[in-house]
Amino acid sequence: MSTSSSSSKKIVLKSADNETFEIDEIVALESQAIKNMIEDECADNVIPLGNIDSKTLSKIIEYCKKHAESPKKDDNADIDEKAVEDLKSFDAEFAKVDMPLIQDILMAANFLNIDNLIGLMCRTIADRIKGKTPEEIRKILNINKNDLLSPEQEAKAREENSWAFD
Amino acid sequence: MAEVSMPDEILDNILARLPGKPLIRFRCVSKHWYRLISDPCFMKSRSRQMILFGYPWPLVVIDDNVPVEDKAHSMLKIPSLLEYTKVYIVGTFNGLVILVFTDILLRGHMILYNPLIRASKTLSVMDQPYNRCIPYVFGFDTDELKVVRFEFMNHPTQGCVFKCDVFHLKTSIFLNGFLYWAFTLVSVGILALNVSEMEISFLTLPHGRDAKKFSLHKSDYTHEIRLGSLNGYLCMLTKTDTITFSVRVMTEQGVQNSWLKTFSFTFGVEGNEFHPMCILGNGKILLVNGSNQIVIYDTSKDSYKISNNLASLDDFEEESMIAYLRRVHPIEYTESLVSPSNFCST
Repeated sequence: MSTSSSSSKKIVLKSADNETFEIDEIVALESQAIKNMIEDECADNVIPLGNIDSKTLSKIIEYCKKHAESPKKDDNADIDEKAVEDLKSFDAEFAKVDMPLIQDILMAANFLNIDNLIGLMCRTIADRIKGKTPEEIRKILNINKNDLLSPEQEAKAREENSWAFD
Repeated sequence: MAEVSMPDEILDNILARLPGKPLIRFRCVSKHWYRLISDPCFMKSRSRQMILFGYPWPLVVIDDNVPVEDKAHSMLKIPSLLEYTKVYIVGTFNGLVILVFTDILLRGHMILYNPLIRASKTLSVMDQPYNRCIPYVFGFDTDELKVVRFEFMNHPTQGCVFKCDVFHLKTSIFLNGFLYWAFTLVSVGILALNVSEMEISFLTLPHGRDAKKFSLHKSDYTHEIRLGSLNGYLCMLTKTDTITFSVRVMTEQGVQNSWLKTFSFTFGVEGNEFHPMCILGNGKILLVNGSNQIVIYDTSKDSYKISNNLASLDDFEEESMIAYLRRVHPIEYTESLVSPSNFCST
């Protein structure tokens, strides 16, 4: 039935909005959580991911595919420098999406336990917010408005470290 | 999914990647952020290494963790009262640095300073007659910090004598045992102080180098000895000619014949000579040239990174560091929110 020339095992992921994605098992293994499920033999043919929408999931799969194809560090001590550079520029391009999607990918990567992707998303967020003001951060990251410092506390913190607000 | 709030573990992961300035600012984002950032465990695990430059300028902080293109965060000038004051950087612990002022106005003031929160506390004011050389060294004992001041004096009848004073700061930190510092004035060598015994010994420099280079001719490199630690060993960085740098480690604590040459590398060209400034903790070495160009050389990768020029900072008094080489002792410290007021001198 399969038209793929590869005989590798396939895994099907199902998003919250019921879209299914058939991927090679090797790609799915980039996720430590799925790897554990497969090893514990508690993964059915279809793995439902009820908290990840299809837009986010397709991005995650794009990332895992690229990283699964790329030579791993422990495979060979002399990794091709070009492959490392290639992966770096892929990561940089991959992260060029809007903040809500970055956050969705981060939460999904955290759920699926994909270490490199968590790191990439955290680094991206840190780079994007490092020049912002606290007000902007509250907006960008939807900070709970009931959790703000009292005006007095905030004024004191600003005064004590006014250099950081220049 | 964006409305789901981030777990603390993830938020910590993001915050830990931020430079100090936004981190301080973001304590105002919310109560939750304030708590996370102020948690000593967070700063400990963040463990961000920074480089502090002093003398002869205002203090400058270099953050090697951010790319040099990020000018707002890769290099910062520390303003305030320190700006017009020459300081000697003595040592660091818990994110605090110990500074001694060498300017006429505040000469002999020793202060504890936290460059991240920019808070300071005066530890002591030393009575400081003019002497030929006043190096300081600093280290840990089992339950206290010690700052040792070592002076060379020209005695009318006895010739050159030295005097040693010890200052104690109460705290609790791990043991180090020996303190070392290089001296280049009267002769060239290394002083070792056994902290528990409070005994000073002199170590001569390793042989195997052209002995003439250690004489006190102006053209030599004797003033360019830098000490540091490498894998727990005392390590010495020297120049063997205008472009060659050599790193040796002392394999047995306090034993002067146990110097082992570990590696050497070349950097710079004739006419654009670089000088060793400081051995950083991760196999990196800080170099500077006559136009105050700072370079961080990575010995493990044999690669280097050129920092922004110090002159790119506002109101920067451009004066070549080379003239003050002997007194410029940059230091690497780990950022923390520890307040200097938590420590007292005795």
